[in-house]
Amino acid sequence: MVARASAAFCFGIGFVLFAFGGNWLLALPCGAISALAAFLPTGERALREERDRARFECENLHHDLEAMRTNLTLAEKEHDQTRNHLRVAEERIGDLEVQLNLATSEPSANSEVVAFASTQSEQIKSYYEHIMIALDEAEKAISAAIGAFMEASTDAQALADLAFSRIGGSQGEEGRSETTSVATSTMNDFVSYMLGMAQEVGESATDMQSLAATAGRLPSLLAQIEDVAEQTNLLALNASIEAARAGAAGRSFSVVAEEVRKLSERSRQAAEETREVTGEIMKGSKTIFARLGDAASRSRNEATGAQSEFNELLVTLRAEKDRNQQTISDISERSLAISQSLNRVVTAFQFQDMLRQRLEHIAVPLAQLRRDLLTLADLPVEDDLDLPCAPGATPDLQVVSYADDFDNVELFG
Amino acid sequence: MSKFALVVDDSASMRQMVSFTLKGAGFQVIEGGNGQEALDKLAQAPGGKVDLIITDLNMPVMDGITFIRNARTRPALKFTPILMLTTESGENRKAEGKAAGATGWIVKPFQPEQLLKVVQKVVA
Repeated sequence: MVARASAAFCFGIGFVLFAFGGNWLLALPCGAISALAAFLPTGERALREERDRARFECENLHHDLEAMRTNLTLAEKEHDQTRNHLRVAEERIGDLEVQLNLATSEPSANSEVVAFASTQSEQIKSYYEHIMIALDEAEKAISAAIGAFMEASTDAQALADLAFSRIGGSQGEEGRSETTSVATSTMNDFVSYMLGMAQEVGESATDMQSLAATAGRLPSLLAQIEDVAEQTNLLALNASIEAARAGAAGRSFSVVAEEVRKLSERSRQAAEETREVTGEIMKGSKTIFARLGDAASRSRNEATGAQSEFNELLVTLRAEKDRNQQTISDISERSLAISQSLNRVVTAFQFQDMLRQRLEHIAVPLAQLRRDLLTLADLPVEDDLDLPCAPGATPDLQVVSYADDFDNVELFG
Repeated sequence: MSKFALVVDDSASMRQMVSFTLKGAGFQVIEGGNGQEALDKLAQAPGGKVDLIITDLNMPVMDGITFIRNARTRPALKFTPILMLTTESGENRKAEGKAAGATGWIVKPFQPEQLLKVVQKVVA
């Protein structure tokens, strides 16, 4: 009985150590939560920096596009001026044609008509110069607009690159998400472990309770031992009386009865000591049981609290990630639209150059006409028109209308 | 190592637009305002060799056709793709360009994506 009670006591001490060890482990989820909390602001800061960069690029783009719009307005004005000059020139050429027709049909009025035509020719020269100046100005404006547009396009590209790096960086995001996932997994494993521990502690407490119940049966068993000892003592006393009555014949029996009585006394003392020890075990077990119950309850509460806090952090992190991905997607979409628009601007701008070339082609026959008229009028021919076009240029240019698609490429085999 | 392109046009804005499009595709661009200037500027490219030439047709000083004929006499430019980018689309002029050694003929206006597709096709 004593050995069994001692084993129960040792188990109790071991269990207390185990339970306290569990409390030490509880400090760990708090550390992991802190690490995650530290990770979150770092991630937010990085995202904020990237958003700021995106905003800066957008502002640059906006600025460049504004400059382009100003230049385009200027170009448009120049273009209008050019068109006005051309219209006047066209009217003068019409007049000239009428006069030339007259000159052909009425030879008598020839010199007068030719003199008039010569004046017209001066006008044509003047308009031509106006046109060329206006075109030069328009060219400068367009060139400036293109410069602005290029910067805008570069910015758009930078914006797109940024967006793509963020999306491509979604590998980074995934990496981050992987980190979070690992953290989540570790954390969940740990919290589960802690909950398991708490449960185990609770179960052990139940075992302890059952042990206490078993130990509770000890007093009645001890009472039986005491009863047996009492009965033995009584029997020994009776045996002593009978031995005395038997006289000399019973003396040796009396010695035996005395030894039995002493044995009974020792049994009684042992039972009493055992009761005392058992009482102490019972008392200790109750204290341990109470502590274990507290520890289990605390572990369960803290683990559940930690898990809930951790889940809240995760929800925040995921929401932030979703918001950022949406922003990236928007930026990317807009950047692509900007690039496409600017490409259309490149195509449209070329009509300015095409207009210039057409005018240059018209300038050739106009200059020739002027020379002819001066000859007709018997005036000195000054070849002072600095024609920008190549000598072989002819006015038979194909007119290309602006369209969305041009089938204008031919590769020679 | 990045590829070199030579862009020849008397219009500064056209040169800008073509250069811009090519730079976007990773080319280093040398520009010339006419055929003669372009030939002179070829020295800027390593070994006087470029990977692509895009030239206008009608230009002062030296026109596109004369420029191509001159360029083809240089060993470094014998097999360089040369694309004409011009307002003219007459078959006679095209035949003239082809005979001079042009690789292809693009009538203005060009579209950036379309130009790059053609460039990809002709540049090895």
